Amino acid sequence: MLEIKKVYHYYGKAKSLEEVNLSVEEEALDVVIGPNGAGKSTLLRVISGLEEPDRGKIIFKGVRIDEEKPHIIARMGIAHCPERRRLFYDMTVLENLELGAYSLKDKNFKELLEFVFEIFPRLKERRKQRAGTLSGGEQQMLAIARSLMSNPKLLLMDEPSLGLAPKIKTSIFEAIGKIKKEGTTALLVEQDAVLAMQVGEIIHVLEEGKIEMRGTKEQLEKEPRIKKVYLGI
Amino acid sequence: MSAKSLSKGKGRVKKKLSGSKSYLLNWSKTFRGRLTIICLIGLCLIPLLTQNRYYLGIFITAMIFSIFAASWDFLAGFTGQVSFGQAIFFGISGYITSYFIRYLYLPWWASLLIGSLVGVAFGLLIGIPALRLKGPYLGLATMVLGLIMFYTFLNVKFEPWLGGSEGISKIPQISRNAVETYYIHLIFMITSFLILIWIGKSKMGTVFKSIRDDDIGAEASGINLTKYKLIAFMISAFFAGIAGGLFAMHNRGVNPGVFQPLYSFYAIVMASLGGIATISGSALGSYFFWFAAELFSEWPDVSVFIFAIILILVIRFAEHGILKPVLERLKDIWDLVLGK
Ligand SMILES: Nc1ncnc2c1ncn2[C@@H]1O[C@H](COP(=O)(O)OP(=O)(O)OP(=O)(O)O)[C@@H](O)[C@H]1O
Ligand SMILES: [Mg+2]
Repeated sequence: MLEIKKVYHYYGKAKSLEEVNLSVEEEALDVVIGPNGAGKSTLLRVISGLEEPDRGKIIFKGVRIDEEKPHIIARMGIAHCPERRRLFYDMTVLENLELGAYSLKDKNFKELLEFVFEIFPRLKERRKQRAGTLSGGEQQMLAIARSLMSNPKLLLMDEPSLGLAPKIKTSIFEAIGKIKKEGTTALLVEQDAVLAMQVGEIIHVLEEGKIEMRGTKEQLEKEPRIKKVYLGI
Repeated sequence: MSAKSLSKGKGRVKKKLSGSKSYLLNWSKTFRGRLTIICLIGLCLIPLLTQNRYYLGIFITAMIFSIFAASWDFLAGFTGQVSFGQAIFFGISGYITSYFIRYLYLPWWASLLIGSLVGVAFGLLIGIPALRLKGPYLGLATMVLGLIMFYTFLNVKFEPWLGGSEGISKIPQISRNAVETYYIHLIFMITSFLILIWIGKSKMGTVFKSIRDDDIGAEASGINLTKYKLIAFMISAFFAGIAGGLFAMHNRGVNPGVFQPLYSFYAIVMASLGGIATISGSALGSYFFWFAAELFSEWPDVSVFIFAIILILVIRFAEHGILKPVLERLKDIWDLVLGK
């Protein structure tokens, strides 16, 4: 579904991605892990068009998208749920969701809204509340819900559980499981390696802009370096 | 199938209409709604109290600047594009309107329309650099562009074409009848406000606000930033242009002074006085400003001084406008009187 081929990216002169190859299969749930500053967020931003790669190709469903504008990529069915839950803070929950559905062509807005409220019942109760006044966990739910409202084929999520209590973390990941069951493909960035290995089918390890390793949970658990650096065993 | 979908469409329109009807009904019951209605009725009745051209002129100036301030508020408050060069659209439309009336003998309303449309073209031109600039940089860039306009129109070399420091004068007024002129301006003000508020509440308005709140997020949601930022600039420029054209006719002429940053600041101060992102607050701010200016008209230095103080107060304290807290006090008194 998504193919990233030899992608390089620089911020000015500083290299942030180096020869990244990565592909995500249809209906998969892949996770990217890596230390701070490894380029994980940059990778997602490059896919969704918020940054342009300096070299390499990105192909989504057979179409090259690496030179397209973000709004075009969004309309093709890639939703990006960015880091630090960026929301439209001065607008209500419902308005945020409406904007998420902006690029929706067919009019199943109501169905999607119901689906999203089913996953996050808390948002239904608070649909008239201003997004800026939601709690941290609720804001994260809204951020995910908003990206779901475009009925994406590929969902990119940047650290959905950052800064949340373990209980809410679990409920967020339960939600992600449900989304996957509905047939959405997802590529997820996660700091928490243990959690990442639980949910991810394929785990990609990004370090200093390079994919250093990848594999299933079982494969990676055998690697001594992964054990030491990420799992702390 | 077509008949079915047609009736469905009709149903939707009906629903929408009745929706806005009940919205209006509810709105008219709120304090804000009642105050607005009272003010509007008051404005309609003013000519019964006085037909004096001078006094009506103060009201007319305030109405013109209400539109001007609202145009700024639309751009800054709804879309988050803070322009310090609103006078560009105001001035260019003033010039074009005057030119068409004076030299091509077009009726005033046609000239005003052309002037405002040229304003829209300038909105597009100024909007393009705005796509890359944010916050204070956009403010500075628009201010510099305004200054360029000012000095271009003032320049002696261009005098044969642009009129130099004299500009264009001896423009006939909209009507010889002061009362008629008054009502024409009132209609312009109300219509402009209704359109701007309606856009703000429409789907497009939600898109504008999302750009204000988080432009990257908006883009990631599939919103074409380029398109909507330019549309916002053009809508804002149109209404600034209406105000500029009316102002030129009201003053029976136009000169390079209209391009001064001072006029851009007028718009900002008035909109901020009344509360940003409210549109209707602009009217409040404008009337307040012009009545205060009138009170101190004997001492022009004092009015400049007060203007400066208001500017500082607004910048320092008034995220939600200075007049709004006052209004809320008023609301408490209102509730008390009604025994709520
Ligand atoms: N806009 C920017 N301008 C310049 N450098 C940037 C920019 N954004 C990120 N960087 C740099 O690029 C590198 C990769 O950043 P990125 O945000 O992709 O890391 P990350 O893996 O998401 O880290 P974290 O886990 O802390 O979120 C970092 O060194 C960062 O400082
Ligand atoms: Mg990151």
